[in-house]
Amino acid sequence: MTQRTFRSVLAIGAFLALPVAGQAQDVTVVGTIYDASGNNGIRAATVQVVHESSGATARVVTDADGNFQLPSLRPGVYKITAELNGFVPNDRRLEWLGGQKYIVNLQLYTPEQQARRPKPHLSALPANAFSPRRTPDGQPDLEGSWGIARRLGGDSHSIEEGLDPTTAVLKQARGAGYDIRDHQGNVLVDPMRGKIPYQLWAEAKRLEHLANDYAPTKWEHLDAETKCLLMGPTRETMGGTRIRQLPGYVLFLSPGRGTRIIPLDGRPHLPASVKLWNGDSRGHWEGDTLVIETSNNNDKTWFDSHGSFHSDAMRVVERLTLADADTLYYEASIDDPTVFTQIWKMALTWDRDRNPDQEWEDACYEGSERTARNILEAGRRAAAAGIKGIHKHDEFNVESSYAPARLKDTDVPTPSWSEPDESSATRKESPK
Amino acid sequence: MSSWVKDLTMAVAAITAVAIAPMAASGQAQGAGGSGYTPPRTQDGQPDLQGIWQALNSAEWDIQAHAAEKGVPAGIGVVEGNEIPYQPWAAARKKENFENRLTADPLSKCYRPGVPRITYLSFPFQIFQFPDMVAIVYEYLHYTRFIYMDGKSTHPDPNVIDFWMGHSLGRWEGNTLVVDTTNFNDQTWFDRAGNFHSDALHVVERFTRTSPDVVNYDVSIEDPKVFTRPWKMTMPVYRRQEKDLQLLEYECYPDRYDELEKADEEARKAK
Repeated sequence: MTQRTFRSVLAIGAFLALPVAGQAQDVTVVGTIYDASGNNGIRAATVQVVHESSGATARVVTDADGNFQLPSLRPGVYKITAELNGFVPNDRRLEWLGGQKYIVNLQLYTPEQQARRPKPHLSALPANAFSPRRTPDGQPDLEGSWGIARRLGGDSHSIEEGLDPTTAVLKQARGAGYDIRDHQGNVLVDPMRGKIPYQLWAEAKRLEHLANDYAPTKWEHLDAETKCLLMGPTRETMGGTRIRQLPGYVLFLSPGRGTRIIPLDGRPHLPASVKLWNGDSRGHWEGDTLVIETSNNNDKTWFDSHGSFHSDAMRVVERLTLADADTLYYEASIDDPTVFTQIWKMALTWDRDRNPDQEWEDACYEGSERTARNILEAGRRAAAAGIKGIHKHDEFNVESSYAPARLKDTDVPTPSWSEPDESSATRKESPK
Repeated sequence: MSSWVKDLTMAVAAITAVAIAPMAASGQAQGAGGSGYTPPRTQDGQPDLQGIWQALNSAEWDIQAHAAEKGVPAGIGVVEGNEIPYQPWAAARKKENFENRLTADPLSKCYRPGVPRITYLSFPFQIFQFPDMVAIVYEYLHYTRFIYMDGKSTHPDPNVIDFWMGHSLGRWEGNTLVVDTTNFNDQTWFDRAGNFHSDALHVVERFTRTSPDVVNYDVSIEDPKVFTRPWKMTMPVYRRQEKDLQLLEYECYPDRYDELEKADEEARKAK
């Protein structure tokens, strides 16, 4: 196997489970420790895994190419840490199931590089309680403009795998040496293996969606974001929002993306036959936490562009709590027993934008038809030529993400972390 | 102007001059705070316009007085004096728009309806007031207007950027919310009858509560590229009374994509 092919296999994804024959319940973990550029493996780095419930520890040192292998681990929740003198240790907490092989790639940064990196999302609310200010009517004050631009991951392209590898954002990140190997963008905190827990039939349906994303032939195959449809309560909200509060209401305000009006007066939900793209939200306060329960969802939205569907039986519970004056912790639990094997949860961390621009109309739909049609025509040409595949992420071979013609039409904004105060690249100068 | 439109306009103008003029006069008096009604205040002291409101007229079909046709209720019109002072070229263009209205109306493509048309579509909207901003959330196409009330914001350079829904700045004149909107594109219409404007459109809306459940909505329209002089619309909007009413969604786009899919299929078959 050539080095390149080997790496391509490795790069399928940190959370992709590859079933292996034999050794029924053992876990195998392989991966590579890279430098900040993401292009060079680091030799002689220490990789340590600690089994959380037993404290059992295993340790290996990377080879000349930065590769490591940890065979024969018992299943469970682990903390995996990469370390080397002169670099900031990098760790992640993951759950590994028995009989599976996992790929984990991590990058190591010098302290100077680390200081310039985006921060990871919190995976739980910090234990030390923060006491927020009150609004004039006595609610905990969550008002402000909140976003994830300064964070690593949380992109609504994929809540499991992060940014679309073909986008300029990721290409530029690659050029700037940021987080292209361990940028998994994973904001799923439960289950810890970072995969949406689909029932078997639903996993198959999702693969169909990913095949349709690779080479779309019908308008219905195009992602809601491409078509400027409302994207459902979590996808509309996870990237941050502008929160305003009034007596009886919390509002998530957006000029074009579907303002969410959340009544706090305890009124009943709408009749079940009223299905809404963004669902029907009711809020209440539990201490300093805003709890939003959303029902009456239609079955047309996805959690991200990776075909991650749900049914119209879905109920969502979002919880928003200030971790400190400028940090808002957001989590969303998804309950839909017709599609998933368990209730699952994602968690994100929003940072306050202290100097927000005016929110301007995006005219998303009005300008989208041509872009959407280009993507569709590319897919139709590919399908006519017999080209099939599924949309997947492979940093080493971005051309495998979509059917060939699609790649000519990737038009995306500059990376958000290069200018953290700019929330939109389409905005021209803002009047002050 | 076509002869029948002209005839209709003159006839309706004659009939409604008596009816509309006193309404307009009373609207102005109310705008100046003379209606005798003092609205309650918000927690930060603004006249309270909050709630779910909706127009109840047939201006979405035609802002001028018109007879009924299939699926379209007749209406007495909302234009003061019932005349829209088009320049000659623009009157011809309006006539053409009217003839092609079923396909040429931007709403048939699900485009944003512009201002003031979004106010008198038959969909509710909800007003929220903050110290520095009034937000109007419209059920139609999930649009939210941000009306900046900080007194410092200015309109962006119209040569640099324009919007389907314009850029809005607001201020209080007595109990009246005055909203000044510019930076429009030339793509939206005032109604299904093809009344239109250019990108030089300047809209000033006046929202005045005249009773607990009625807001008087005055609009002045200026567009020197299309009209010979400024003109006005006026109409009441009413508070929706249903218990536990809330804004729902009208998305439009999914139906439009279904239409595109059908058109693509037919094109394939034709090949």
